[in-house]
Amino acid sequence: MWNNYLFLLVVIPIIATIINLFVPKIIKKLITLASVIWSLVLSIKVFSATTLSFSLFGSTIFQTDTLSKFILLFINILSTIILIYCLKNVNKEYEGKFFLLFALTVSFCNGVAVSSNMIAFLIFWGLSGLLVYLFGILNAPKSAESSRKAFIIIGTSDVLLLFGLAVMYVVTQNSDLYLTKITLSSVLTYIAFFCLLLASFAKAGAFPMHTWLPDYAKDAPIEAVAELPAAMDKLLGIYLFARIMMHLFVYPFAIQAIIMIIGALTIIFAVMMALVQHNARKLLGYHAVSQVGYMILGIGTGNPIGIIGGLFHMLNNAIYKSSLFLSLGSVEKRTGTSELEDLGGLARKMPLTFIAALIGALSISGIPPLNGFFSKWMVYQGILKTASQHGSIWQIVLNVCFVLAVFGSALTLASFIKFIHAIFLSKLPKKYEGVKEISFNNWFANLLLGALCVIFGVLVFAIPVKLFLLPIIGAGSIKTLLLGFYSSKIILYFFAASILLGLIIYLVFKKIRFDDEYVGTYPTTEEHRATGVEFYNEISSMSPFNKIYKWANKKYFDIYKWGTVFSLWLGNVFHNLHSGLLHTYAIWMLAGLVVVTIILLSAI
Amino acid sequence: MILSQFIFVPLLAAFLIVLFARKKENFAAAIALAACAWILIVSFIAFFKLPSHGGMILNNTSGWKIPYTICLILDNLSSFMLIVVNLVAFLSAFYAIQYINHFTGKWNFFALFMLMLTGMNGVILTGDFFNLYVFMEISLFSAYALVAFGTESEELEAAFKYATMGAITSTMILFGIGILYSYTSTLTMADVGLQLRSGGTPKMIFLVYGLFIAGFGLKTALVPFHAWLPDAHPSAPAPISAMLSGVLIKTLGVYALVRIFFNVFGAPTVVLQILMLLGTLSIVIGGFLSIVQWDFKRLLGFSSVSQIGYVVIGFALGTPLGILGGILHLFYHAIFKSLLFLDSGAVEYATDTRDLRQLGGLSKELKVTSATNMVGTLSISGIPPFNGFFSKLIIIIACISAGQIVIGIIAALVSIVTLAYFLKVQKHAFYGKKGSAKVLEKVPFAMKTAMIILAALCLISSAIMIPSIRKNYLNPIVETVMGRTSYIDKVEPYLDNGSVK
Repeated sequence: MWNNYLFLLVVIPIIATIINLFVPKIIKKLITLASVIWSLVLSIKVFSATTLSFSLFGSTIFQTDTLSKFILLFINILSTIILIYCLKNVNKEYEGKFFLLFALTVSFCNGVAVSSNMIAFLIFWGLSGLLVYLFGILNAPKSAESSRKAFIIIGTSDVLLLFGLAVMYVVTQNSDLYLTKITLSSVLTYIAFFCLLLASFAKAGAFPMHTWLPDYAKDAPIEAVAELPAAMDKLLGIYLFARIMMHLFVYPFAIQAIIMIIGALTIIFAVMMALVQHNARKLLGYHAVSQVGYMILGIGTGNPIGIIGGLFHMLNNAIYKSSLFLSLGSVEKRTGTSELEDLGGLARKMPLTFIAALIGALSISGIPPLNGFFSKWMVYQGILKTASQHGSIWQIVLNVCFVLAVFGSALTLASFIKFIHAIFLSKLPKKYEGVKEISFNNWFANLLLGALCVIFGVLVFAIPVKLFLLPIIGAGSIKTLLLGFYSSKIILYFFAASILLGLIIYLVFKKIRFDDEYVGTYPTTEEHRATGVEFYNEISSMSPFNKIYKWANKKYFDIYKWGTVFSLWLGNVFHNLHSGLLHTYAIWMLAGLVVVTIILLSAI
Repeated sequence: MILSQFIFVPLLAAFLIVLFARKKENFAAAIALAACAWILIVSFIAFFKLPSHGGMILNNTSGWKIPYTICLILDNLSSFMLIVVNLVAFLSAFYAIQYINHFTGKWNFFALFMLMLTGMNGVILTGDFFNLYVFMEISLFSAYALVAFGTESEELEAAFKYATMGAITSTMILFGIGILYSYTSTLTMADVGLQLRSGGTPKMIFLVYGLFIAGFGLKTALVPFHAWLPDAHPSAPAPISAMLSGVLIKTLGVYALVRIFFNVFGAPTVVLQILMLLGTLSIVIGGFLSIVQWDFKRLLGFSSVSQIGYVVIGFALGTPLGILGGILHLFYHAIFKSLLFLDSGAVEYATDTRDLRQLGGLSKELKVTSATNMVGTLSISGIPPFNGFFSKLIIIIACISAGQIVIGIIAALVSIVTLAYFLKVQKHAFYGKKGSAKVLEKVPFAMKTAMIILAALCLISSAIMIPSIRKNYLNPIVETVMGRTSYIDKVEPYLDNGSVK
């Protein structure tokens, strides 16, 4: 037992947590760090081993295959980097609890990745969801409402998963996820499929189960947002989604098409919402939803290139989205706000954070040669390939999905220009003139994530595709799968050339005039400062978007809101029936007796 | 002899308290606690000794043999129930030592508490119908008095309603017993079962079914017989609420239903269908009612209606897996619901209100209460690895494999509602903005200890799902229920041969 890597991966962080309960804060950090690094080393060992398994109570509960090894490795890599960020500057009020929960997060996420037994999978899935709530309420009372919302939706995901797996177990009489494959035929199998699908959507934050994410991102501790919804929940949610689509079910094409449509809708709805946000956390939160659409689209295509693209996008998104949240976290720690209107011009004050944020923003917008470009590109190819294999109606539908995805990418760029501009480039508010760069560990971790974005983009074929992605689908070479031609080197040359050109122009025409600003004849004051958000307000007043935004603000698209309205309505109906009058209750009782007796007599 | 201890020890304790402890109230608590501890230990001994007695211990209380005498019967199901009841009783009594300082007449409280316990243990152990009725009335009458213990108008009203409705249904039960007696000329349960088995099913028995379903349905708080519960449970002092919701409705309700309908009547299909219907109604109506409550304890009361529905549908499925789910949920619910009631008591003790709108931000001041409430919330909402997860899982799997897919879906959906209303409590009482209610008093040691033990049990009791433990300790209980008439077969050798066949 104690020499089994899979067992250790789950147990070591838990042991660290138990020790952490009794030690002072500084040792807590060290123990957490040690356990997470240990877990990272183990995950690398597991990754390089063939397949491992672990049994308990006579049944195999942990097992690995190429997909789970890949997820496991990046759970640990990302957690380690994010933990480095957390070593300093976590809010003192909850720092102690934060480190307790952090080690648990790693343990439980590892548990989800390596579980092959249904019950083990359910348990770890539930636990990893619970952490979202526990992290969330650290920031109580501010985050009480959004944590509750997040946990209700994530709890729904637990219940859906439980129900789906229960149906699968009843249908197959087999509790091993690695040995189960069901062809969608009866109603029961469809129920199981959609339950699991929605469970993965809720975790990953895809339409229609996404609404917890932006709210949670706004209120919870930002390190926790970077770790859970931005990184781990994406890895785990899409891991389950990939397993459903690749291993657990055999499904007709119509299902695939529906899933792809959901993916496209997720992209476009969420990015439209992101575009008009005034709060940087919410903006990133909506992007955390929007990007899931690409993963779903990619894996939903069902062909190798699309699946690779989708999984790669999941990885990339986990990297750059946590990086973006962390850089926003650094800004927030220094300025105390995440409202875009109040920020500006921080690039000079916090250059390293700026670089990290810029890399993240370019990556998420899909600018070559960064990683985000490449994964989106593969997803697009996957869609086109699938479209070309089906009848003309499907072709039209899938091409619409394709267009939405591309358009979504353009809007992503637009909203990140807003993000970068409003925080780092526009005019610096006076009160932030004394702001300094964030501590070493913070920018170091942040730049480390940025470096991963660059490396996975520039060396895309040599590292991520070859090492991590091709083994999952069992293909030997990417070249045979790809359409067209892509070389990151050439893109790099273009980039170098354009930067060079820019420099030349700058040096040749080096005539810049600095002037004071005036409004009327007076120098501008703080209230005239141009922030980075006004321009985007135009969109929300444009027809027909103004109506849609109005509805969105009234939460018409929020499944949680509808659930609440319905439950409260039904609850009140029942509540009003309970008048508190004894004779009413006595009548119910007698009526109950009469009805029961009638049923009984009719059975004679 | 071991069996009569369950009845005599608490009964004796009750009388001793009344006789000697009226002036020395701490003495009353000590006697009650000692009695509870004693029978808790004995119930564990009984549980582990039972297999060596072939799964049944039968005590005739006089030199006669049944059916000419009354008997106490301990089998797997009743010894399991004894552990559940006495465990919760012990922890509630421990909690009450300090909690009850807010009331006057401490000795009264403990005497009634002991009487209630006597009644419950009696119901579990008795082997004949009439004593079932007697013991049921003993615990119900003490329960009525305990609900009214605070003697405020609201509490008196609740107790009055409870007493009226309880009396109506007790009459129904007595009427049913009368019909059975007139047909079989015996009151011993096994003998009744035996005669019904050999004599075919008379039509009149269906009337008995109806009377028993309504009668015990009220004690179980199944919809539409549930209306007393949301008034009575919040009005009682918290340890009593924990006893009422945790074990009383299960002993007088579920246990009696299962014992009578499974072991005596052989689980007729139509009854199972009715119970299934009532259980499902309870799950839905109780769940949605909880979500609109603002009184902490009233919310918990409605939640009990909903949760008891899960227990009942588990049994009503009639499959081994369903019964396992029912038994587990019965046990687990006893733990986490008493924990939650004790938490609500601690909140009320500290702030003097249970209105969620006035509470808020207590997580920083009442750390133990908020932590244990978190554990209770996670357990009742079925978040793994807390115990409620496993029972819910088994009940849902059982529903699906029995082909009751719709009921499975309802059970799953309402568990989301359950999570929602407990997060409402979490938000409004513990993590939200500070309310108008202030923390006036600290939660004392005994209350904290009881809550911590129950919270630990929420996690530890999951361990009985480990396959080997489940096989050794839970499967015999399932077989006792599942084996339907095996109960009769086991009691038959003890019957006097001269009995009327």
